[in-house]
Amino acid sequence: MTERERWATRIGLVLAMAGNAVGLGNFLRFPRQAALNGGGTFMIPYIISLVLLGLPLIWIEWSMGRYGGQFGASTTVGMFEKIWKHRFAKYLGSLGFTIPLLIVIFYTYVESWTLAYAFFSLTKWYFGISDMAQMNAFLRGFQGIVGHGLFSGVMISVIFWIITVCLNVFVISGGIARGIERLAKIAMPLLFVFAGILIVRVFFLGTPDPALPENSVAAGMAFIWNPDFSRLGDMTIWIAAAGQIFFTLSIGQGTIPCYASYLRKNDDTALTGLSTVSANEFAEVILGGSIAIPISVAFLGIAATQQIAAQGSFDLGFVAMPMIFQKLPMGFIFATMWFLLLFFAGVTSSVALTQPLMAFLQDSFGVARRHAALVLGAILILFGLPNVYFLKYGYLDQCDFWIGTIGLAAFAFVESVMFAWIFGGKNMWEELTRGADIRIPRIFYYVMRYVTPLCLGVLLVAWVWQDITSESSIILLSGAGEESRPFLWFSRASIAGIIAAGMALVYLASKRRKRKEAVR
Amino acid sequence: MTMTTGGYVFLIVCWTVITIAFAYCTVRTIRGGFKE
Repeated sequence: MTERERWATRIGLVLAMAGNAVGLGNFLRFPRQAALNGGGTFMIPYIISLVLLGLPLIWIEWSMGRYGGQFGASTTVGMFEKIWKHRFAKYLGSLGFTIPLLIVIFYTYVESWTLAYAFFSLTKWYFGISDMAQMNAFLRGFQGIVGHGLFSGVMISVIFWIITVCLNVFVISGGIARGIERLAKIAMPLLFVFAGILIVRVFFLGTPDPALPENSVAAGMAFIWNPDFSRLGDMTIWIAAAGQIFFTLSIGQGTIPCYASYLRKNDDTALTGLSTVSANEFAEVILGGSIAIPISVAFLGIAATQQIAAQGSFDLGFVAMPMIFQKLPMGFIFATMWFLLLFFAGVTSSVALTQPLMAFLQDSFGVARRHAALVLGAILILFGLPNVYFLKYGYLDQCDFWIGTIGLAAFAFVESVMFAWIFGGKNMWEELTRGADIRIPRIFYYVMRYVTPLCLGVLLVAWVWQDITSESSIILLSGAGEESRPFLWFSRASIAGIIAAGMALVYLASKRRKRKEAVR
Repeated sequence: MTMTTGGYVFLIVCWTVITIAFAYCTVRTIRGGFKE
């Protein structure tokens, strides 16, 4: 048996794990959620969710990953099989590589927009567009949703998407230490440096237009942080806060168990897991909360920022921010930094999302790493094409909801039950505390067994309920036009097809292993 | 909109706690290295 890959350094592991967690959501989703859900008050359910949901799940995934790695399992296929002696376990575990695959298929496309906008900023493509409607038309023209003078269809968009996929393939073909860890050691410090420079620039803006003293950075910070205690009894802010914690830590994606499987039996998971959480929270609350919203309020005012925030994270990042940067001296440099920052956040997450399938192909079928990376690149292009061409029909939104929201919570629920109940509370606690560099309070034993699965169940039910009671329900397709429905059903069929294909691969891998054992 | 006392309290408490946690964990992790 060949020697398993390992992380070269502990700081490299932390940076790679933090890179997995720090994504576009830290800089676009968090400030928007905080501003829309009670300002400073949002931090109360946010921190409670971090303690009761985020941290326990992080520790469950880290410990389960390290446990599986002892038996040569890099994905939840092998991990579930070891924990639950049932023939169905491995098929359930296949979700640990199909879910991240389904996410990365559309995530690389969104990630490519940040690379494209970094290029557009550096070359000042959109400079001169000074109102929201025109900037929105620029974005939609780039995405091929509407015709635009600067773009002929989706060609430019496709070029940047293919460059992004190739970059991902290049990194993952280098393996754990020489690919993913090396990328994290370069991209994560750069991300922090760019964010630091942008924050200093934002804070020195003060009140950009003295004629409008109410439009200032201080007002922007007040917009995010001033508490509205009347909202604390509102269930929606609790669901929003729990959801933000869940997404920001990249839980339920199968990536953390996979990365943790490259640890050794007695390596610490408690402190290292906590380190990645604290790095992610630093990037989200301190860096993410101090750029987009404050600068938007300083230039556009509270009312316009509220409207932009209500429209969505992408409007904030790709419509408001490019418009604002044009108003700054040397704005193209800051705009390039902003989009490169988002790109670094995106690429460190997308390589993590590809690793479970890579590991499965390598471990179960003996596929060479470079060949597995090429297969993955081909899958990303083939299954990603509908995201590019059917974006306007809501194809990507279906994938995002079914996999990026419901799928993640459901899989995290399965993981928590698998580890805290089927593996057993005593085994779980022994696994978590073995080799730990910090003492984990015993109360987390009960939190992990009772509170976390319960919170996940409630969250799952709440999301489904919120969707089916909304006017544009994704589940019921109530907001979808007749012309969109075939594409939305196609999206659902693709998701089901990839999940089924994943299970078929597990079946074939199992047959192959049995044949090899029989020969021995 | 101006920052209220409550806003300052939330901002200072959250920033301080997160910064200390981040610095403490990072330093301990870097010093620790791998066991094997």
